[in-house]
Amino acid sequence: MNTFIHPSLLLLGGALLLPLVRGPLRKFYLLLIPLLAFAAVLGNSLLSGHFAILPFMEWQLVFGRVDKLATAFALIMALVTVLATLYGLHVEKTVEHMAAWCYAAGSLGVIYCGDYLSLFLFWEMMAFSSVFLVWFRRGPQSLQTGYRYLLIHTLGGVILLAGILLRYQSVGDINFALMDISQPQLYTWLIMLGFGLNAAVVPLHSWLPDAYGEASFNGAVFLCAITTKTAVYALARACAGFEVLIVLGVIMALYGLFYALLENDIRRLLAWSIVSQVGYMVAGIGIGTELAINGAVAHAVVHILYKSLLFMGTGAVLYTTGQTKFTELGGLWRKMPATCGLTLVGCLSIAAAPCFAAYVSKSMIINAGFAAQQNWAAWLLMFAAIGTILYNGLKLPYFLFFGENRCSSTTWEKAGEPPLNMLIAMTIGATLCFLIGVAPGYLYSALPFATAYTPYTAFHLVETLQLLGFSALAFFLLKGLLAPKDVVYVDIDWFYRQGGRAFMWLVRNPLQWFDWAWGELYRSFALPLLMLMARFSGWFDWHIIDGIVDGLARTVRGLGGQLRLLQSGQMQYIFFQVFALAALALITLTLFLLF
Amino acid sequence: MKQTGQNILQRGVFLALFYATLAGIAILSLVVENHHPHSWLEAHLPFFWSFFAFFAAIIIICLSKWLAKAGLEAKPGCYDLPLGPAEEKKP
Repeated sequence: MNTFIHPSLLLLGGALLLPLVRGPLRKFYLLLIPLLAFAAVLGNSLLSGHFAILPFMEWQLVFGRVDKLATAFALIMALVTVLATLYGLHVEKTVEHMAAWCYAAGSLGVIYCGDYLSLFLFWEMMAFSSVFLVWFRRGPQSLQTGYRYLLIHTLGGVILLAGILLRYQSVGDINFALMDISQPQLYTWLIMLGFGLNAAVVPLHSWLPDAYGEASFNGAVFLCAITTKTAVYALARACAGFEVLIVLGVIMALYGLFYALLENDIRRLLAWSIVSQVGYMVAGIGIGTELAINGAVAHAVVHILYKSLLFMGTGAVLYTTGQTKFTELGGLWRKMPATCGLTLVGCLSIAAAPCFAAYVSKSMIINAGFAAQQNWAAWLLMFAAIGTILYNGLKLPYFLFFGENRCSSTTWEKAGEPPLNMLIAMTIGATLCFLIGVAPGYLYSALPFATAYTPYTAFHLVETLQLLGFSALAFFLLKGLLAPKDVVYVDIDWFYRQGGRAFMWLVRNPLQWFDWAWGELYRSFALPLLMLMARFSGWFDWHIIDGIVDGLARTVRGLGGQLRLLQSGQMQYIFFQVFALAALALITLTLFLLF
Repeated sequence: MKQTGQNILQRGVFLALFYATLAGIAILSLVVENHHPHSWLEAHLPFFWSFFAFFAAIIIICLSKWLAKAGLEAKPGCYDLPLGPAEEKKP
C-alpha cells in the first residue's frame, strides 16, 4: 500500500454515520471503525514524507506528514482508540461514542499535520469533543467540571493561536517544525505554553485531576491517553531541547506524586499520576538528546498502555460499585479477582517492575539526564520514581483490592466483575504491557532515533529490585500514615475557582448595587430633567419654530389672497393692469434716461 | 477483624518471605558491579539503592503528610463554602 489514508477521516465519517447504525450491527460497526483507523495508521507507517497537501489562500496545509515520530504516536493513539471503544462497547449513548471518536480524530489530526493552521483546527476539535466525555458522566459536578475544562482549554487555545500568529508575522510561514529554541522569542514561549497547558505542565495542570476524576467510566480511558500525550508529541516536534522544559518536567514529576499519594479518589490518584509521569516525558524533551527524545516517546507509548489499563480497572470498579473513594472501597479482590489481577499488571507496569512496560522506558529518560550532565534532574526523577512505586504500585492496589474492607453492604453486593468486553479490553492492555516489558525490541525500533539501549542488564535489574523492595518495606512500615481519609486536597485551581466565585459575588453585590443606584439616580434626577427639557423643546417648537413657520405661511397666504383678487378674469381689469405696468416701466425708463 | 491462629501464621510466613527476599536482593547488589556510578556514594556505599529507596520513600510519605497538615487538606465541598460573611447573607 502506498496511499496515505487519513485515519481521522475514517473516525469522523464513522462518527457521523453511527446514529444511523442500529440493531445487531451496531457493536460490529463500533469495532470496525477504530480497527479501520488502526489499519490506516499501520498502512501509513510504511510511508515517509508529506501527503494530503491542500492549498489554502497563500499557504499549503499539510494533513499527512509521516515520519517516525508521527508514526509512533499515531500507532499508539489508534490502538488505544480500539481498546477504549471495545471497553465501552456496551455503552448505549451514541453521542458518547461519537464524541470519543472525534476526540481521537483530533489527536491523529494533530499528529499527522505539518502546519500550525491545521494543527490548531485539530487541537480545538480535541478540546470541544473531549468535554462531552466529562459531561456524559452526568454526576452532580460533571456540568461545572466540564465548563471549567472547556474554559481552561479555550484559554490554552487562545495562547497557542497568539503564538502561531506572532510566529507567522515574524517567520513568514506556518510550518509545524522544531522552533529555534536557542533564541526563544515571545511566540516560542506562547506556543510552548499552549502545548504545555495540554500536557498539564504545573501550574497549568489543575484541569486534569479535576476533569479526569469526573469523566464517565469509558470517557476517562480516552482522556487519560489522548490529550496529554498529543501535547507531548507537539512539544517533542516543536520544542525539543528547550531547557526550561527540564525544570517544568521535574516539577511535574514531584508535584503530581505528593497529590497522588494523598488522594482519596482512585481515579483522581491516577490523574495526578499522569501529571507526574508526563513530567518525565516533558523533562526528556527538555534534555533533547537522541536518547532523551527516544525515552520520552517510549515512555509516552507505554504510559498510554498502562494508564489506560489502570483507568479501565478503576473504571470497572466505578461501573460495578458506583464508588471511587478509597474510604468507601477495599478488599475487592474477593469480588473482582480478574479485574484485580489485570489492574495489578498496570500497577507493576507504572512502577517500572522488571518484565513490565515502564521498566524499558523510564530508565531511558533518567540515563539520558545523567548522560547530558543534568544530574540534579536525573536524581530528582529517580526520587520521583520511588513516589510512583508508593502511590501506584502499592497504595492503589493495597487500599482498593486488599487491606481493610470499607465497603458498605450495598457497595459490596454491587461489586463484581464487569462485562466481558471490558475484561477483554483490559486483558489485551495487560498483555501488551507485559509483551513490551519482556520484548522491547519492537517499541525501540519504532522510536524516532536508532538506539542500542539495553534495559536488561544485571545492574539495572538489581537496582530496580532494590527500589521496589525497599520502597515496599517503607510503605508497609508507614502505611498507617497513608490510610484513606474522606478529605480533598486543595490545589492551584483553588485560586481561580475561588476567584471565579469572588467575581460572581462582585457582580451580584457591589456591581448590582451600583447598577440599581445608577437606575434610581436616573429615575430621580435625570428623568425629570429630561422631561423638563422635552417640555421646553415642545414649547419652543410650538411657539417659536411653529410661530415663525406659521407666520410665514399666514403672510404668504394673505399675499396670495390679495394677488388672487387681482386675477378676476375680466378683460378690462387685465388691460388696466398691463397698461398700468407698462406706464410704470415707461416712467421709470424716462426718469433713468433723464438723470 | 479478629486475628485467627491461621491468619497470624500466614502473616508470619508472608513477612518471613518478604524479609528474606529483601535480604536476597540486598546481597545480590553486592555481587553485581555498577560500571557507571553517578555519584561517589553510589560507587562506595554498599546497598546504596536499598538505602536510597527506603529513605526516599520515608521522606515522601512524611513530607506528603506534612503538606496535607500544612494546609492542603480540606473538607469535601470546600470549594463551595461561602467566601465570607458577605456571601453568607445571600440565601
